Amino acid sequence: MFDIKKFDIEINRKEEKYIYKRNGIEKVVFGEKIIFDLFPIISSGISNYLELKLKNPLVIASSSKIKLKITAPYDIEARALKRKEWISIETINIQKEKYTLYGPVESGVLCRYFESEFGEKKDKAILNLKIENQTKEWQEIKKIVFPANFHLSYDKKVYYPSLELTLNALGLTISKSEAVKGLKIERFIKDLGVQKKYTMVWGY
Amino acid sequence: MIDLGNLIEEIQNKELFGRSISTWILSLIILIIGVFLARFFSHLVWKWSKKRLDKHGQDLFKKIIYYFVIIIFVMMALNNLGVEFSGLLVAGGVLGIVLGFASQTVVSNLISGIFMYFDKPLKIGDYVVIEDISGVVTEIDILSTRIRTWEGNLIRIPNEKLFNSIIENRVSNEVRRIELGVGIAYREEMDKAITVIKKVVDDHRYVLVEPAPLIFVNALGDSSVNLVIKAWAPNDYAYQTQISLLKLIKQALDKEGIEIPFPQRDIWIRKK
Repeated sequence: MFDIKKFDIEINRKEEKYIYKRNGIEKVVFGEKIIFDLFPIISSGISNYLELKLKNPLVIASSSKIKLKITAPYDIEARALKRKEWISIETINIQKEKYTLYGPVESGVLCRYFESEFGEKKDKAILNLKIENQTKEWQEIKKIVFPANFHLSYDKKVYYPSLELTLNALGLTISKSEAVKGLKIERFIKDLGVQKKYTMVWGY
Repeated sequence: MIDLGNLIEEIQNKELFGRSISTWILSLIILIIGVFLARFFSHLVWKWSKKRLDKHGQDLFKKIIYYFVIIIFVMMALNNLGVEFSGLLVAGGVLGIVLGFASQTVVSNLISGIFMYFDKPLKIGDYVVIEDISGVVTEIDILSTRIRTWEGNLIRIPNEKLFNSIIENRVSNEVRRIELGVGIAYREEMDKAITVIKKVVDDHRYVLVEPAPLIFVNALGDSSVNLVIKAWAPNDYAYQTQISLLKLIKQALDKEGIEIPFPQRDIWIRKK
């Protein structure tokens, strides 16, 4: 799906080593029958969380359920592969890297920041949301925050796993729904020390 | 021929400071066993606490167990030598006062160390400012805390002093605010300068979107209109953000032809 030439990556083979070059970065990889390929990843950068700020806030009626798509960020990881084993060579940012704090200064969480739009957009991943408002009031959602501890999948587009958003008296709880179509990307999931469900207690 | 049995018996019956040699040897053996058991139990506790406590707690707990076992075995050894503790308690008033005065600082440091463990004003690896000392905490001991300054010097602060000091922990939160000042010439447009600076700040990778950065006119100085930039950054990147922002702001102002003036004085010469 991703073309190495599009990202100005140059790979040269010299005897038993490969030289990977891009934007002044140069890495030497030793070994035989090595393949270099690009994969989309959810890159939370220096943080373990993502905050998707909705460009247009979403208003949802009481006791109702909706399904919608929003855009989400992804980055590209260049990997050197030998059979099933691989190593990350470089992470290439597709979207601008920005961060934000969700919550108060003394106890909030640092998140990678991204402005999401409804629908699909070029060079953006697709995130399917199922939202249920269990409260007896109208609710407005301006942002969603969740731990970035899962894989992306892809075919011609890049997909996040679907997320279920439940609005109740506690706040907005986000949990992972079923896997999505496309190829699942094998990736070492770091032990992020974050829970699978995340409740946004400092507003949404 | 030497009779080994008699020799041992003779040595055993010999007295040293009013106690038989065998009593002294037994006390020594008790002490050696004590040291061995203290090491064994403190290591056991250290292993047990590895997943349950942080490094500071682990070290503190280990040392408390070590000294506790040592004290018990010292008392047993002394008891074997005929030292009566009940007698000591009654008759040791003067000695107690002397020892009390001598160990006042040690005990005070020890208690401060225990209090600090529960209070947790700092932990190993934290960047702290304590009065005029700033650096990274490298060790928190039962009696003292060690800080490596930015110059690479090691400073040992007794826990009692540390406990009573104002401690500024710069990494207790995930984010930190940085503050920069820039002066522009009086003839320049303030709003234009603020817009230029805002763009630089907003474009910077590590300047947080929330809490939002602030840029405003802080003072009308002697030679310049002084602007202040207050921006939040992830703690680990705050210093490098501060350094790079200042450089980028200067470059952006230069590009837009906005002057950062030198200090100036207008001199008026009175005509006679």
